[in-house]
Amino acid sequence: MKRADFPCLGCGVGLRTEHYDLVLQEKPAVDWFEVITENFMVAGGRPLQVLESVRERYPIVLHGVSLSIGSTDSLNREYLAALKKLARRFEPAWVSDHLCWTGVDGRNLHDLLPLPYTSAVIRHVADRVRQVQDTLERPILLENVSTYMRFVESRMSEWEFLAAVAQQADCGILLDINNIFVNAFNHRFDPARYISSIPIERVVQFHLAGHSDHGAYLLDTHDHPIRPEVWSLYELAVRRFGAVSTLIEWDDNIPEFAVLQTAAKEARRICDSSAANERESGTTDSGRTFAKTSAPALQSDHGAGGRCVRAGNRGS
Amino acid sequence: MITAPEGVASAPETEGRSLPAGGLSEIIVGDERLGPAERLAIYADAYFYRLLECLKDDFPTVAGMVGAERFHELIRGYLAACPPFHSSVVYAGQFLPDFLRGHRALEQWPFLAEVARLEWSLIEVFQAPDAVTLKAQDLRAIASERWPELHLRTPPALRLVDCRWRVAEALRAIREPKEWQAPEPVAQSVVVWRLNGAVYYREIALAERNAFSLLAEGASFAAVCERVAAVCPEGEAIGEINRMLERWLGDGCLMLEDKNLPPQTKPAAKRPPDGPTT
Ligand SMILES: [Fe+2]
Repeated sequence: MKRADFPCLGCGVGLRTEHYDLVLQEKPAVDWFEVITENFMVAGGRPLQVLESVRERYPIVLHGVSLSIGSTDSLNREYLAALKKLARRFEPAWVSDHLCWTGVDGRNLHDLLPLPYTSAVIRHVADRVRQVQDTLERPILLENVSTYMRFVESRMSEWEFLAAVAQQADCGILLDINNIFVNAFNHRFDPARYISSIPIERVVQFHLAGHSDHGAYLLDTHDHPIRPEVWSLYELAVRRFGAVSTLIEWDDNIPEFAVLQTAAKEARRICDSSAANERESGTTDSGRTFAKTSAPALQSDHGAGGRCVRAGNRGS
Repeated sequence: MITAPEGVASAPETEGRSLPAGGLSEIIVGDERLGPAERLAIYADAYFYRLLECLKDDFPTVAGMVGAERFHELIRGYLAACPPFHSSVVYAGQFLPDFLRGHRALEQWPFLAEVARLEWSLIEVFQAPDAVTLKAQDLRAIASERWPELHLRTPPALRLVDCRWRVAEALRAIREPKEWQAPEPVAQSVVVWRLNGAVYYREIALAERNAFSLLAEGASFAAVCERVAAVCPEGEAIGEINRMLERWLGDGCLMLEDKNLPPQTKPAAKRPPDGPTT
């Protein structure tokens, strides 16, 4: 896997049902959309029609929540076949899922559960990622998840585990900056150390999201604006990794679309100013800046939605 | 082992699994802020409440009828009996109508399983396969002498739901939302269909119900007319069929069987490039 093989999409937002009508009618200026894969693994109906129309105008990424790459269950071949079919139909810029397990004995917990950080688990996951990549005939990205517990069995840090899985599996990394921040609080580590330990050439995408503070722990709720500390960590990440395709995630208490657009613009501003600083100081950066993309024209007219709209699965 | 909130401590025992002598702390790292069980409980709560919210969205009438507390309890029992196996949370409520059929909640709300079945039909129709439905102009293009032998059927995104209670009114009231009345124990048939991606439902009379029942299997237009005429008062059958046909064509409730269909072609979608690579 080479980072250069992946397009640089700019700063996008997650496509949510609440914004379907607006996106279809107003065709807002957004670099790209990420969609939750499982919400489109349906036989037919509005979600697929919406995605068809969105894809005609924007690049998309398929972000899955049920690959369960770390599980001890055998890989779900039916799921992979459906994913492959969806990827063929919609030609996403790439396909991603999470470095976690989501169920066992066939059950799906619909949650992203942590793994023990051991070399045996690295081998197990890496082997499965290679099988998935062979089946899909494309590289995938794995995302670091937010966690609330660590296993006694773990023998290394989360960042060492993530880096080792990506290297051994030869896959990309979707680095969720908010998840690093949440985990740094929940498990008491230095988030800057995490960022500086991840191999630059593996990072293809960033996630930015809001979390909520429960006192004893931070919960990755995706229902708040991105916190200032997370923006600072993002700046640090951009200095290390360059301008990486960035996505604003919001899954609950979903605000007006304009709020998401503003956050995406802020991410873009940070990337652009980081690149400008590096040019000024003459230092060589990681080689990545965003090309200027022309945004689709804004149009205005607004219609009524359907009677039955489903929220479906959530990302992380 | 993670099945519901407050269940973390007793879960290993109920599942018949023994923890190491030191308990959860030999598996999960705790600290002075949160012990291992509290950390595990974050996941247990998230599992339950995520599914509870999803099922509340999918079954708003069931939830509205029984109230928040009883719904919580119902879903707790449901998830213990029917944990999700599908890779998409969209199917989490698939077995709720069956689960409710034998549930003691029926003593208080005897129509609850039927309400759940109707609500699940809305979800099924929402995500059912797409199909090319028959439009009025398509039918007009066919010589009327040929109509009797035309093979018709309902599209995949249509369900006929026969109920023993008049549940549709309550469904409509709670979903609006406005005051709802307990459904009466009077038989009712409801058709659920999809038009331009949106899902609709309406109560139908016996003649139309019988027609849809026949059309679900595929039938000639002549057979449908006969079935409708059988339950219509003398002299009203033709008018009735015309009214139904007009509505079905407008709502996308009919399709021509494959053997009648000319080949369909769809233009390829135009897509933008995905931006420069670096
Ligand atoms: Fe994320």
